[in-house]
Amino acid sequence: MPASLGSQPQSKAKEPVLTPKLPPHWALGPAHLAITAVWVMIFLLFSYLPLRSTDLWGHTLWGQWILEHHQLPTEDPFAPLAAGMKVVDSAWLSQIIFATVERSFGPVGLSVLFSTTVLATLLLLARSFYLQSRSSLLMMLGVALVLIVGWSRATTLRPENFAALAFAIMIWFVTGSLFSTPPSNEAREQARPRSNLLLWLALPALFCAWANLHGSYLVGLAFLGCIALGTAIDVGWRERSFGALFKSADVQRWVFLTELCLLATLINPYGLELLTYNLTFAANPNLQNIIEWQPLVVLGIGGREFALSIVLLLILWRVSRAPVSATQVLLLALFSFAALKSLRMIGWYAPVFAWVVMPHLSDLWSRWRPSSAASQAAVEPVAVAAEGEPAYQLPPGRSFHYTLICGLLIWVGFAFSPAGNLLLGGKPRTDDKLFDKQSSPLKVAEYLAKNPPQGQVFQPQHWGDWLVLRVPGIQPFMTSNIHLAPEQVVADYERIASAQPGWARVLDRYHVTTLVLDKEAQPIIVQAMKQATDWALAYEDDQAVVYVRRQPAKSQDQKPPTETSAESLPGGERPDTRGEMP
Amino acid sequence: MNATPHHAAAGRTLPVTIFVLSQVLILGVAVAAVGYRFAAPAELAVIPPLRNEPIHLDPVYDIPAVVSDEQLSETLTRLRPRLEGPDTKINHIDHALRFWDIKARFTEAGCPSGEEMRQILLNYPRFLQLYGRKGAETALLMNEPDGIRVRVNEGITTSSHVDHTVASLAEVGTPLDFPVETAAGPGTFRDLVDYVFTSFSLNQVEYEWSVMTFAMYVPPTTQWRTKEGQTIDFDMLARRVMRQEQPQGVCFGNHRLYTLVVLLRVDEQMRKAENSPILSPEVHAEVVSYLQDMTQRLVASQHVDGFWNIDWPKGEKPTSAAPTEVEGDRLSDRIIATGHAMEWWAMVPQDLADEILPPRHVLVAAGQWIVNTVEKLSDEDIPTHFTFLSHAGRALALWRGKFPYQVPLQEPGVARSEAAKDDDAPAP
Repeated sequence: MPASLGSQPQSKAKEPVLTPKLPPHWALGPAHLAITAVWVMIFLLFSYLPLRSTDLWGHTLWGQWILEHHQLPTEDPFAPLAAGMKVVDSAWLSQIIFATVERSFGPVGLSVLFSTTVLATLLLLARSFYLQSRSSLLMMLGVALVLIVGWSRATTLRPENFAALAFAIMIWFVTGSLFSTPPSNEAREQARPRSNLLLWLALPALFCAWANLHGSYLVGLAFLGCIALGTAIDVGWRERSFGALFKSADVQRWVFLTELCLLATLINPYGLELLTYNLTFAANPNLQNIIEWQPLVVLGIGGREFALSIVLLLILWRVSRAPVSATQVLLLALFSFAALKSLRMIGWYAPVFAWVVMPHLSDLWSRWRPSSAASQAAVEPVAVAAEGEPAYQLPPGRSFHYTLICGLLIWVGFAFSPAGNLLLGGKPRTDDKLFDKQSSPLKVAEYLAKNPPQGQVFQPQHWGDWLVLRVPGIQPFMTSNIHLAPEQVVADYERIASAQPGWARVLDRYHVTTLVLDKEAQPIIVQAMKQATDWALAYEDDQAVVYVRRQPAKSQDQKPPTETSAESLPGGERPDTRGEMP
Repeated sequence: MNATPHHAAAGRTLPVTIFVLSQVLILGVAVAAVGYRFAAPAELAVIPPLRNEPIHLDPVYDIPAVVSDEQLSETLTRLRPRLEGPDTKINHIDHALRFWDIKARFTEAGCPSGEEMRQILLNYPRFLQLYGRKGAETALLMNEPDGIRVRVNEGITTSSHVDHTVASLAEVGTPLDFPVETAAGPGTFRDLVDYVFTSFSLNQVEYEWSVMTFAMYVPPTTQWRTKEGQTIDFDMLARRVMRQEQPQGVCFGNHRLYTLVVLLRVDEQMRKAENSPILSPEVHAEVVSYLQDMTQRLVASQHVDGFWNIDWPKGEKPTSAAPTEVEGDRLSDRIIATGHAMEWWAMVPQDLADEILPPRHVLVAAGQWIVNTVEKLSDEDIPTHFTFLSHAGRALALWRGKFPYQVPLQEPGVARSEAAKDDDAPAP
């Protein structure tokens, strides 16, 4: 830290002059203060988001299972109806991380893990945007674009967060390689991309880790593939020669890098099977009814943001003088197609979109604010000699005061965050603030923990993991691992959840003894249960309702089928329909 | 300041030939690896290795007090199969085939032999002879990409329950290579069995006959994969059968019990013959315990006259000796409950008789009730109740250590088949 700030009067030469120990570029300005404040706010925002239980608890449970059994599960350990369904645990490393953090710090630890992972991801993306634009403002604009376009995927802790971090690291490496940091045109001409050795070692290592953290490493490979192909197209177009692209060192580098990264992903417990599993995962029919796997709808989740991004892109491409490279076109085509096809891909589209538009934003910025380049150059400190010692002159507008305030701001942000609470001590967040109430119902879980249900339970799929976590020994009908459930089970779940004809007989078929229902998300079955005479209301609060089977025999609409009555089964349920798909 | 992408030289460049060759090599290896991965057989097949001849289960008890020779002959005589032209229900034919077996032959006009019945089920021209245009519109057998599907619940020319027809054909010993003729051309019985495998889901509505089909053809293999990717074995199937409460399932849950007994019998046979049981000791014990519980409920709920109704699992005796019009307590319901209970008990492995079977007086009372009931039925009532009666009649024969075709019938002009004469089952 500086002993004193700024330069001292020169009148008394004998008086000791305190000179800063930090180099001048540590002196910050108002813009840095504003940026720091934004980052602190982002960190606090994500720190105080409640933990949503999409599949977080499922992964945590799996991690606990792996740590306890010292092996990867071959079947879903927590879903009895999925017995015999083969598991390829593509997120085993993330699960171990979740379980270890949860075991060491409790759920608060997971919250801290979430905010720090998101922060790290955004910081790395910001660094990439800065490398592209040389502008702090555009850097922050890029981060804002990522958050706005990808918000629907940003608020949940899941293994995908580690993958997003890996994606950001990859983009950082790629950006560093494609966009160097030349201060001048002369230097730019002589500049070399980021150290090749680092790229050749770090990227494969990153992909190796990524493949064990989450199945989305294919997204990273697709990104690299687009760069390789885009570079080849650009070289071929520029040289007007097909043969030229084979001679290009850039093309060769990106092709080999992509291949090397692909090879690195094979270092996992399943080898090549993981790759084929991930390639075919989206074809799992059970995913068709899951919103995040459905096509993006303009007026649905993430749709407006996506549409807005496309409009912005078209405008930018229209007015920007920066060249539109084949890589940009390929990346946008691939990732926007993926987002349109599957809503969950918008989380990957958002940073790609920001990365692609950044050079165009930068071009516009430099045209509209030409003075910015001069002011950038002025940031360089100027050393002034004074009495044999180098004097210290800070760039205009810079001061270590700002540095101190920025540091203080960061400290305050940390101290007020759950991470600060964890390390410095403090009043922990209460459960109702820590957990997302909608996906992690506290009261009904508490009731069930005190009154553990025996036998098969039917419960909302989105509560499955949470109830398994909080109610020891519970047998959920369906958990977040829908892809592991037999299709018939998924179809029957839908039939019960929406009280389709024959739903009560389906409950009998699975010998369901307890129903746990979400009053808001499952109003139809909740209403139907009020008329069900064979079920007794055991618990109700503002969010959930629990019914237990009054007598474990016939359901109220059941007439046991006989060999002559089979054609006229009640409720339209016909025994000849094997699938009974709703 | 605007930074633009570099396309500067990234170091040394490989000669074009080497670069292209390396890419060809890498691509070749990748294609070969992925191809190998997809071409490699799955760890478990959806259709496991099957035995051509199904496992055959013989009768094991002979208790004359349940039904005398004379009573048995009289009762079965009344239950001969009859064709009623295009109005004949397929579920009557497959029940009759299972009841009388493939070896049955009758001299009376209108009573098809076992082989004739099998031909109606498996030979489209013969099926058309019986049903005419109605049969052409709704054929029983449909060719599908995964085998031959037996139509279910689409009218009288189709089966009544999922895989019932196939299981019935299996029970009477139809080998997989038995020729089948559909509207689309020739095939074999294997095609029908294949379809049972490729369409099976552990949680499907009706599974009793699918499990029986598996038990007849799969051993000694014990594990395979369903179309849903679920690895299943006979333990899982047994637990699935036991999962639901009684009297859920077809015929007041009795077919589930029969299926469990078939699993026990096959398990016993495989253990003795090839030392390869199909059930784990744990699940075997669970099944025995489950059946013991069912027997206790049946014993507790038997009417003094010997019958049961839908309420058999509750352990409550029917209040009225005369059939009522209450659903589950009509005469047909009593025949269902009583005939099926006697049938699954009759197939209980001899080694487990002491553990599972009820006291003898329970069996005797039930047997006599069936005899008396059939005797009182009018000729018009018998076709109405035929499918239920087929189980009751078969049960009576089994309790005398015989299959029905081995029982001499009484009516003049009706002779036992020659095959039957040579094939009397030994009475233990």
